[in-house]
Amino acid sequence: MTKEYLLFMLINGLSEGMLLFIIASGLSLVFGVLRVINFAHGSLYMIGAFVAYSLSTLLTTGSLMSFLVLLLVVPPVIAVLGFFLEVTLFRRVYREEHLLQLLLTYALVLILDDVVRVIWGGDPRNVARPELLAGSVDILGLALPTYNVFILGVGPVVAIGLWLLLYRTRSGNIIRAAVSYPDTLGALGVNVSWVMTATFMLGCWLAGLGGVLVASLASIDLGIGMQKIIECFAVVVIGGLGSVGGALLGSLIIGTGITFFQLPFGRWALIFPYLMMAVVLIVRPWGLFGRPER
Amino acid sequence: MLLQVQGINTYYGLSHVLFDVSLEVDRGEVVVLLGRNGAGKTTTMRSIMGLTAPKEGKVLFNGRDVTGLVPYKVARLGMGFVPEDRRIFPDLTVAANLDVGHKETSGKPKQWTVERVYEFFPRLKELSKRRGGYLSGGEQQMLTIARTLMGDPDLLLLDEPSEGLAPIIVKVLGEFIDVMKKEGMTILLSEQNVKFSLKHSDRAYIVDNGHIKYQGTISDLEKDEEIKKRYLAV
Repeated sequence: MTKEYLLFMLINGLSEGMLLFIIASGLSLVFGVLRVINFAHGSLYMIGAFVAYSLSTLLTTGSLMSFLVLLLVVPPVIAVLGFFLEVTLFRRVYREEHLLQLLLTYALVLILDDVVRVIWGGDPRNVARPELLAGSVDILGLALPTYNVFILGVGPVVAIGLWLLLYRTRSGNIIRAAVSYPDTLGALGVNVSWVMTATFMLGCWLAGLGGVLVASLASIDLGIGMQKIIECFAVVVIGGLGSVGGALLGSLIIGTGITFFQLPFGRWALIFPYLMMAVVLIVRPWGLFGRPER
Repeated sequence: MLLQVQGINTYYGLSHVLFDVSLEVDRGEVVVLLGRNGAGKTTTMRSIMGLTAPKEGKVLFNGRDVTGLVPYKVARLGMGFVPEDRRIFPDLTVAANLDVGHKETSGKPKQWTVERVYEFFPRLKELSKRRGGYLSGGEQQMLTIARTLMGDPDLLLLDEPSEGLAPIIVKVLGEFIDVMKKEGMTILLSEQNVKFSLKHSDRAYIVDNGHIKYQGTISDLEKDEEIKKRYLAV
């Protein structure tokens, strides 16, 4: 095993982790404000990927323009879908017990996954990469797939964007205030139910962005939603629910971990997220960046 | 009358907490709602704000029926609520806490800006970058009042502001109430601290077991030894 090969694995693992971060940060953000663990987050990501596929069939294959259109159109489409889900369903369960919330979001998984099956069928699909990102780039004498390097770059942009939004704007102050005391925020004149809807839409936008990105990374099928939501849970357990910084660290650990474990253990590497999750739950149950629940 | 509460009955689940509570606050007045722990002071405040909507009765604010209105709408009409447990957003800096309290008032010129709030509470300016979770009780009390003022309220509901504060801070709080009154602010105060309340208010209501048992001016109440003994344990 050469040094170059290890570097190659590292880049791949990190780009896998960045993709995971984009999706998991949405899940984490939504939990922070709404206090609902949205099982259907993976399904929304999958729908994003399939919508990207359908839209791409209407556009020129492999052009950069088409890819930009997908990036600009699909995440808002998923956000709008999220808007309807929040207003009609999620809003009703915020003050209910966890079991009811779990039942709702799990039922949504079953329904949405079947909707995807009905519309797109079970065949694997994928979206051609734009020519600009289709080849490979030389980094330290290694030929790395340009697209993976691209995702590796998108992750930090999303992370910085989220950080600026949450810590440098009034909207971010309001979102973070809603995490602690939604009632008090309302008494200060803020329409908290709109804050919740908007946060949910932002989470769905992130799931949709992940969907667009994955559609050109690998082939997409009915299983990707479930696979991703499980990885996302591992991420938020490791990083701490509700923490964006934690989601970043957790994603990178899981992404690179899976990639490296594949080397000696093959498909047994899939155990890695659970293993990490178990270790964190034993040592620091509230996650690396989280705080113990009040 | 700026605020009229007319015969409200409020419940927490099945338990009946307020019985036909009525009270009035005129523009520019400081009115105190006195009572023991659990008498119904906080529930009255929450009922007025819409945080715990009364089942019967009416709350009129500026002549407008606000009963059953969601709190953020009541707040936008000009009611400012300062919660008993302060509820400082712990992850937000002092400046960000104030920023959240600022609300868009439709066209009305802004009375309270960050600068003016800092003038009133210089300590908050020194602490502007500190996170809410790291403030002392007194600092938190200043901040929770300042945060509500940022919304430019016409009426300030102060729920047990002196609770748990050191005597020196209570004194500062009293001076603050006096200054606010001089500036024409209307305040409804709820308190257990009788001495503090009588010193800084114009009129008093006494609530006990969810019923209003007494109402009158401060000078009348000060003379009424029996009432004071019975309800205020003075």
